[in-house]
Amino acid sequence: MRDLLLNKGRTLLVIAAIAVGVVAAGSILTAYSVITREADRNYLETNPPSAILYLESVDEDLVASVEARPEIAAAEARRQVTARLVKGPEDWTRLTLVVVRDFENIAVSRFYSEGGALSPQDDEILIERSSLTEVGTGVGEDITVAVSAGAPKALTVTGLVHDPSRIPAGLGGPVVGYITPGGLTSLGLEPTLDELQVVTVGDGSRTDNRRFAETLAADVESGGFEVLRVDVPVPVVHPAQDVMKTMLFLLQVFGVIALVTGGALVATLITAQLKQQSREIGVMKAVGARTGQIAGIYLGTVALLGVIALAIGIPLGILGGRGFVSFTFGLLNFDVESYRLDAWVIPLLVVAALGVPLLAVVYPVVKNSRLPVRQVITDHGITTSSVDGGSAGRLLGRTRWLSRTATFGIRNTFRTRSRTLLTVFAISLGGAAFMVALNTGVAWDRAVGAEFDARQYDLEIQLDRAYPAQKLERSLEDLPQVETAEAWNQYPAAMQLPGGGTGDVFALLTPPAGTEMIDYPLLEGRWFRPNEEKALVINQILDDPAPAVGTTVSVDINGTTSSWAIVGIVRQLGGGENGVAYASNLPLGVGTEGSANHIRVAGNGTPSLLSSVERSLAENGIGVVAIATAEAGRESLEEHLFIIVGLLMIMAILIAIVGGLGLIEAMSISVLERRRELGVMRAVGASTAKVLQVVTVEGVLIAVLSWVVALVLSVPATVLVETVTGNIFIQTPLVTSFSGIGAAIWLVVVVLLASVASAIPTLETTEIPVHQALAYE
Amino acid sequence: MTTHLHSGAGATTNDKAGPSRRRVVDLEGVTKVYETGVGGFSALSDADLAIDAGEFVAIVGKSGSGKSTLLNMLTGIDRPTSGVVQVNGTVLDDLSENEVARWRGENVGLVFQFQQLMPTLTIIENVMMPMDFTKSVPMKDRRPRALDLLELVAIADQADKFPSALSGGQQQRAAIARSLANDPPLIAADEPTGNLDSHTADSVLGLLGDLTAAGKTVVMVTHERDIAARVDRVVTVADGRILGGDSLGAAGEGAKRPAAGAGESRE
Repeated sequence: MRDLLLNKGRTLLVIAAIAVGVVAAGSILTAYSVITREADRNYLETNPPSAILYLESVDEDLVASVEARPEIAAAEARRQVTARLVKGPEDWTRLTLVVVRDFENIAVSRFYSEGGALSPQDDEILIERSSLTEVGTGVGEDITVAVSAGAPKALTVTGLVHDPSRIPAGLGGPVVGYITPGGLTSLGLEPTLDELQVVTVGDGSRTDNRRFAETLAADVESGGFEVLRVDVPVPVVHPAQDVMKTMLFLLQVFGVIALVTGGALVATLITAQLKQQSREIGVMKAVGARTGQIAGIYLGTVALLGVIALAIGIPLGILGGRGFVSFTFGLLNFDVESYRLDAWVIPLLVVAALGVPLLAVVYPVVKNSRLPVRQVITDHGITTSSVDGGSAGRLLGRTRWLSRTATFGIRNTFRTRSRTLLTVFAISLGGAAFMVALNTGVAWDRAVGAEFDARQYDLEIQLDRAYPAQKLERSLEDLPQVETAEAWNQYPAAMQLPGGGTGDVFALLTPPAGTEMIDYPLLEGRWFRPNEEKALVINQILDDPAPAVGTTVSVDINGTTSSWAIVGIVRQLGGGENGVAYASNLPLGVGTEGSANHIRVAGNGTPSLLSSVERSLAENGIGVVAIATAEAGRESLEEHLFIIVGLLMIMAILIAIVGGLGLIEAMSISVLERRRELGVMRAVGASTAKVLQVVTVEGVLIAVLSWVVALVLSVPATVLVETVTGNIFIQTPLVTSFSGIGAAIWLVVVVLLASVASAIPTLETTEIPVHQALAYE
Repeated sequence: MTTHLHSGAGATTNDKAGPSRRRVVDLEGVTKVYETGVGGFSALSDADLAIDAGEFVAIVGKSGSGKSTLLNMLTGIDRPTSGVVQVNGTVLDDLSENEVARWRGENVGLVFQFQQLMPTLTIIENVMMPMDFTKSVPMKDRRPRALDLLELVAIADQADKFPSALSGGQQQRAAIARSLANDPPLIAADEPTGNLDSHTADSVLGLLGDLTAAGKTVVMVTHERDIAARVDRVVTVADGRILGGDSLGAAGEGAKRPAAGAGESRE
């Protein structure tokens, strides 16, 4: 205990090293415990639908009859309309209007009042709270809403709601407003609802739900209704769960790295302490202490420091975890009901926080405790044992062109090889984490860049109905801002599953032959051949089912089923959460030949493209539901990117701090141990600058070595993180990318850190009078 | 032997008996008080000491008597609480730590009891180290000069070995070669034979004696018995004071001559 108090700096560093690991692990475990529980609760409390049937119209009698079925826990009619929130003459934002018949009795897809009345009148609207910033007005004020069929209409915002089931506006989701069927009328639309959302009794799997939905659809159709399509969401999965999964995965990886780095630092410190106290160890052994007793003293010391670090680290870890939960839930638009930790969190934390450092120090402790008494009590200041720096030190240190100062520094670096290796390891983990963060950032950046290189259009226009393709193209071709305009069709579609039922609803797009608008890279297969019929190229996100190239699938399009050959799979980042399929043509009976409900426009760089296109379409009587700009799509993707890379950077910096502490401590120990040696150098004529130079060479060499190791470690780690984040977000690994700038920045950081870490203890030592340095033991 | 050893800048003669001997060490009223937990401890009190060029002086005394403190004063390794230390014409009190380090590198060759060779440098690199620090020898001449010095102490064949490969006596020879690296006028040795067997100690003392013959001034703290026979003068230190009448003649048969004004404590 007195040793701990005597070496306060070192003791504090050991505690800090363990505590940082505990904080990291504690944050992760807290976040994991709270997020998994609270995210499920947030989503499940909304009573998400087990299935959604899309019909022309859903009346109250149909809802009542479905609700009466024993398999149904709740049923409700809804409608979603894509509209515009008009902010200015040519300034608008996409607005999703959720139409609810009875705000007082919401049974499915619940949302909650966040202030104001929950029951809007026909000329009123409720706004989802995460959309408020985008909307720009508050409760009591008017907003202007327009749908393609009607004139803009002012609706008064009478309240805010919290809808945890939706991807929030901050994560790329649309602005969401809630209106009554009467509100639809005031906007110029029919007051009909077209979705029948049902919640089944019990916890059915998706397959169960699919099977039931098919039966239900058949029953509904037998009642005289036409079911256009059926959507069966994955049960208990929030639409933004991928973001959560990615975050938790990254947290786990970095948490383990932080603990291991902390462990390496503790091992370095304890090894140094053992070396410094070798004479005391010899004396203890000389007076009868056994190896086990000595090892027990040091292991007990580490355990004691571990307990202190736990006492500091656990509250901070929990606090950090809560902060992370708060940040994540803020993004996901969730509320936290309770930060209660699951029962396994604290015990696991204790085991990890005590176990990792103890495991890390067992070897040096046992090794030093076993040293013979004669060896450890004989010490004359500068060791005379074989310390030529080993083969690495000899090799590097014998280079003729190096100055002797550099030679000296290089050989000294390899003098305590195990410590050098541990220090190099600890710092390199920080470096690798930093490089991985930047590499992944570059990979995402390139993925986004490649995506928008492949999207060779600026506007994607969804029309209110199909128009003659020639009319569409003619209405735009004369605009000076337009380079090319293509008429496409887009339909919701679903593939039939082998076991019955249909998979996820995806967007089926029909580009004209020889389209110039898309050039997505093929992951597999090929694009269409000229005049090829009934061929599909899908993107990698379409995975329910995931058909292989060369297979034939049955696809439901607008209630018609037809067979299609899968000829290729392309890499495409956006395009909807369930994926996209490009069709070579459409079978008769699906679209109207020569018509299109979708336009893609490539501009020539003129800023007024959007407004001129809108104006021209309106003048030609073409109704527009929504226009997505490539720029907005890019911003949305980059928001996701920012979250991932930002999180990686935070964790990398934390680990780098632990590694940096390791370097500072390693250099401080190195200088302390060689105080007499440095005293001798000064005694034979070395100035402070010369001594500084020798020690700095050591520090910088360690830094450069750690950088090389970090560079090597970062390669598989980058591939892993880029693969995992890619698979989670876009269902395909990112194209492996490395950031030269990241490696260069880390080299500069670590060399600067090494220089400072070398300079501080050296300058402190050179302030000690030479006679005291020479007398140091 | 090709090594060039000089008696030091400004030396007038190599003749120890000559009347124009240059003063190399001049301590006047030097006191050193260390602050301890129980108050001040006087390691050296009002000491006067004068040593001329070419002298071989032994400082003797019991453990804790202050002899190493005295040596530290005249090498600039420690600074006096009061009094003046002048060595080879330089008043050390006027110099900063860095200036003292450089001055020491050029003017004083140090030999320690435990050699204190840098374990990660080869023997020849250890000898070249002071030349690197002071840059007083041109780069191209450093290695040949170091080899000459190792030749002088008869271990040139060990030049490229690391210290750990040498015996204690060989290491001490290497340390003496290092002390001569910059051809300093003064060699200060702190118990250079304290860790050596009697045969090796004898050869090391012989080597130091040879240096005085080459014009160097050698001041040595020692516990060696019968040292008087090997040196010009013995300075005895007891309880931090330089005792009077302990120089020259007391050395017995081997003593060569008195040193002017030396060996007295100002009381």
